[in-house]
Amino acid sequence: MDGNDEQSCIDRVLRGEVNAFGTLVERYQKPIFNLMCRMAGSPDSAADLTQETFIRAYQKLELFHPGKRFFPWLYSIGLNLARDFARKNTRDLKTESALDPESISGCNYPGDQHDSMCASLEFVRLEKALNELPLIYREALILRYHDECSMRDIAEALSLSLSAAKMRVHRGLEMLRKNYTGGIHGPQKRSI
Amino acid sequence: MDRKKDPFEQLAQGPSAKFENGLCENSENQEFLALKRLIHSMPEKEAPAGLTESILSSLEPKTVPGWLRVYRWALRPRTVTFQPLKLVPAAMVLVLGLALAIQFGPGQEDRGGTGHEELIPVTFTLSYPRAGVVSVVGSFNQWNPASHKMHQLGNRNTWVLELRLPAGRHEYAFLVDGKAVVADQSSPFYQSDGFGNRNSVLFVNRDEPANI
Repeated sequence: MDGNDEQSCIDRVLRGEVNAFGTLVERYQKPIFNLMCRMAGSPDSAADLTQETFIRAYQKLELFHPGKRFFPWLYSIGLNLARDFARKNTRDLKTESALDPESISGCNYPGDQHDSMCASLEFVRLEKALNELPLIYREALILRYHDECSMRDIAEALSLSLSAAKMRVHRGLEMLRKNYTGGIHGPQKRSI
Repeated sequence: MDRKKDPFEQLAQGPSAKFENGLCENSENQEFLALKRLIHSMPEKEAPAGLTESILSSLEPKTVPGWLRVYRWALRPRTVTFQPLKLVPAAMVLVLGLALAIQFGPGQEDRGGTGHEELIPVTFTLSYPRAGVVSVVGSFNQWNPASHKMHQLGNRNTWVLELRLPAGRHEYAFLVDGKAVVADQSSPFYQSDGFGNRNSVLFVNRDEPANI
């Protein structure tokens, strides 16, 4: 789906076609749900926050600037909701991993079980290193290298200037390397 | 989602690419590359089934006011495309149209003979033996006595001036020696000038020259 398709969906929604919003939900529910999984303590909370993000976006859709990309705008709404949730639930906050612990045992992998298990262990280690980063650095890295966003989109999603977004990605990668390899500065303290 | 490629990302496309490009010269860069590749292939959780239906069921259809639709329409960026091959004839047509508009457009008829419109020859004559200087003043020269001075014929009694005027109605009079306003006795039409004098009225026809 490109920008024109998104804009077409938004126009239809604003003309009263609720179902047109479903196309946007289908397109972006996965990255938003995974953001919420990183922020919330449980899959249920993540699902609730995902739903609330889309409902909030629907309510504010008139304010969406035509010609801009929808995903960074949606992501910024989701991030604000997630921050509010995290502030209210600080004591229960526990990041939901995308990796199933059972699968790490290697029992469910077809083919070369050893390689699969090693890869899974690498991802567990990566997730741990990512979770030790401050939120803004972690999300900048995920948006850049996982969701393949442009720097301009990252800046908008994280409510930063373009140069600040570039700096977050650059420094985030350095911090991640130290966390991942157990560098001399030790792991960073996570903050929200 | 748009992805802006940088050299490290290009290297991260495959394990052998980094060696082929020869850009990865130190272990730190290799670690960054490995991390980027690892983040890229990090597994994601699937969103719960039925989430879309659940969201849509809680939404009411929107009613957006007309002014907001117009505002959003005006805000939307647009792309204009053109073919240079088609642009040249279009520019020529535009230039030609402008030239025609300037030549024949509205407002050209009221310029008192200064434009390119058709001018008809008109000859003014006045018999006034005792005059030293005689001028024709009229609506066609903004009543300026210096612009159209008459000259005497051989008998020195008759003053003559030939002008080229646009077709239409003109008021005029003769100014003798710079002070006496004399109406043209041969003109059948007159118009009071509001100061006690009479101006002669001339109708210039496109089809034939006039001798006054």
